[in-house]
Amino acid sequence: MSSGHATPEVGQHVESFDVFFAEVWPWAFRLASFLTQNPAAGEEIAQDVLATMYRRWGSTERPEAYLRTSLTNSCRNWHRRNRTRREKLPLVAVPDRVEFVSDHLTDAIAALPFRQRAVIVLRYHFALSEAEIAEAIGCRPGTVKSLASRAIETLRKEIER
Amino acid sequence: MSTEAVETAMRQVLAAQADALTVPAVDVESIKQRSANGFAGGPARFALAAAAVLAIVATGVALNARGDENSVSTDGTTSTTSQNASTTAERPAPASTTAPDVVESEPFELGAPARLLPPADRWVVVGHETYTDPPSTRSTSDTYAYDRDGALFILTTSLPGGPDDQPGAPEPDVFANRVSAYWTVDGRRFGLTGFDVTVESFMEAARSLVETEDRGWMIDDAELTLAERGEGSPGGVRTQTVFAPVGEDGDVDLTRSITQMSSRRSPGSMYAELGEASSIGITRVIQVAGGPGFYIDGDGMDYGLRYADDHVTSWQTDQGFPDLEAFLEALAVVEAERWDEAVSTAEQTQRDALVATADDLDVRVTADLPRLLLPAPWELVRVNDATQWSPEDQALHIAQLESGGGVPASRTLWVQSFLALDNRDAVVPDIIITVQERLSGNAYVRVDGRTPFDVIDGFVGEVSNAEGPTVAFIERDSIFIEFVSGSLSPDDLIAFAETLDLRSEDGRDGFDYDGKRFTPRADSQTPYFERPSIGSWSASWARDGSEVHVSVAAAPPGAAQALFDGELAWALRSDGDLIVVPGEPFVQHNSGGSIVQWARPDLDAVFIAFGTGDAPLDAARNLEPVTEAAWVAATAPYLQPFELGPGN
Repeated sequence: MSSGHATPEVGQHVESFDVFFAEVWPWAFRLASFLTQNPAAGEEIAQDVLATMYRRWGSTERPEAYLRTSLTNSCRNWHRRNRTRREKLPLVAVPDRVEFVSDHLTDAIAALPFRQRAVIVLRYHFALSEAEIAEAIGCRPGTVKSLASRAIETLRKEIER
Repeated sequence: MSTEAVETAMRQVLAAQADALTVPAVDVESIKQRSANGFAGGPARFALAAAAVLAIVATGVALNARGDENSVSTDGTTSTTSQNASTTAERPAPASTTAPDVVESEPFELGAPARLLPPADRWVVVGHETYTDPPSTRSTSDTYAYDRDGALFILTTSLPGGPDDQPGAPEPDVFANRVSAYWTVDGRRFGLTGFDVTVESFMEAARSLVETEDRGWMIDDAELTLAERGEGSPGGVRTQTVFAPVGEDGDVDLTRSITQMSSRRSPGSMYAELGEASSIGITRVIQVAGGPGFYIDGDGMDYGLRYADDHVTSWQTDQGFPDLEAFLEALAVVEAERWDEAVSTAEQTQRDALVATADDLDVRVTADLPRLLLPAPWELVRVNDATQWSPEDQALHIAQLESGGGVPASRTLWVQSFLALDNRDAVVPDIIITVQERLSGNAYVRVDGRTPFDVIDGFVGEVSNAEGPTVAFIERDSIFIEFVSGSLSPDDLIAFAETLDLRSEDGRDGFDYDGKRFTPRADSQTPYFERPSIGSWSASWARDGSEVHVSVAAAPPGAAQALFDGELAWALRSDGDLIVVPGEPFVQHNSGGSIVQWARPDLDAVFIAFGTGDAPLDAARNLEPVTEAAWVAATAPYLQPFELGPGN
């Protein structure tokens, strides 16, 4: 899978939950895993959120936006309950793609405050717009910019260490 | 390193992480099944609860047939004409059955409380009271329970129900994992609640509700089990037991507590309580003392329920966010001897815990407080003077205050206020900024070694929300920064919070905004949450039928203004009717009475007077300073001794 993968646009009118699920499950799992830094928790949260969506299918006009927001909120709540545990996502060493010693960059991303990490993941992996990110994490677009710049500053210091 | 390079590195790292993740193969049918059966835990959860509890209630009353045959439709129409018929209240003798999924508890004596205790090395009893409730003949609802493919439904019906609803389906209310609806038809009030069901499934159930002549109320052609006939309550003994956790060091933590209440009641009343309690949060079934119980996750204000042996026992978290779920799962039925010992020593256990806390307190005694008396016709009624208590009593007083308040969800680190240069004499600052740290898990997030302006500066540009005309705030993880203004408009306040640019790093030069210069009012940067010295007195006076209460507290050196401004921030946020008394240092606001507050930074003291009508303001204007010796002599006849307990 290439980087910069965007959340799929399934169109305004989704005919069935089955079609929607097939398209969104991979990125929903990845998003929840990134935000929790715990693939097992990410899988559980993604399934719960999608189960809730199925229950309300048809009542949401923009299901993928709803899914992003629900996942983000659920992951945030998970963090509040599990502050002492944080597992690193597995990193496959790909020397020809990763120029820097990414281990401590990985740690630095994982150590960011939740909202900064969410902005980083949604912008630099899922390539969402500022407005879409603001909607997902529940803040103003200007705040997204501010969160991103702070995160970049923190990560820059880590890389230059 | 350029920003572009950092961004590229991030993209690569995130992509590598994503590639390394194996997306689990999940079938859409399993998601649909999960939706129908509830969340993590599988389909058996409510099935277990519903079947087990329904088996229990089967030992009780069996419904007699009613005379009517009404088809109650939730679209407000009736398909058949009802015929008045008498309602039989005959109650056959309860049959004895054993619920297959419930572990039998030992039998209790009639009226005896349920004896449930957690492990003594983890929780202790710190309070226990017994009450006797009189019988109540007030008519209550008939309550029914129904297991619909593993989902629990509760139906209540009552007469009279008030005027009929307008035609149209009742509006289902969805909250957490509960769907409920209420409606009135033919003068009868109905309430239906379903757990872990889709709205569609719930409405199907509601529409299929029908009362038959021979089998009573039915849903889906299945007979509902009567849990309680609404004929009032027999009354009886009710117990209330308070538990506090024991820390790893063996100390009892009085700042966290759980209250357990138990009384002899019917399953129907438990269902009614479950229906109300489920409005707190997600409701789940868990094992409690060997049988099914309910846990409602109220995000810190949690609730538990259990029915066994004719007793309904409930639990709620009182303060300090204890882990109620773990507590419930650790409960066990105990022998009478162990129960009696635990509850009879509760008061002593609490006192021992307070003494242990007090021993660790570093109490600073301050006797150098301003001493004030009101002249005639005001007459002294009672006086409390903590400066005259022994150091041991002062420590106990603080220990009790701190345990009674629980572990607050947040505490204020700093208060800093600013005045515009052209408004330097204002009593209420133009801007008040408070920095709070939130409880995270079981500990506060500390922001060590930093000034308030270090913290505030790190949040500039991140306004999260605005409330009313005077509050903007920023929340990041466990730090919460609040901006309150006595003079800026809402838009200006938000703009200010997003763009705050201090003139100097330590903030002592204030800032510029919108062409105005703002300077700090309170010069101290003392951390706000430092425990104040035990220096305070309070007195009550009466005159012509009105009474006023005056309290004076010592502030840490240099912190009186910050303490007062913190109170103003709260009043601005909460009361909305903050009144500055012209020409005076007083601020008046009304909270169920009249409160007047003021600060004397030159004396390191803060004042509050409260009462009704004009009494507080009159007192504030007429208090006369006297020497400490004169004050002690005048107040001696009215001085209250220190007592460990409410009111001190």
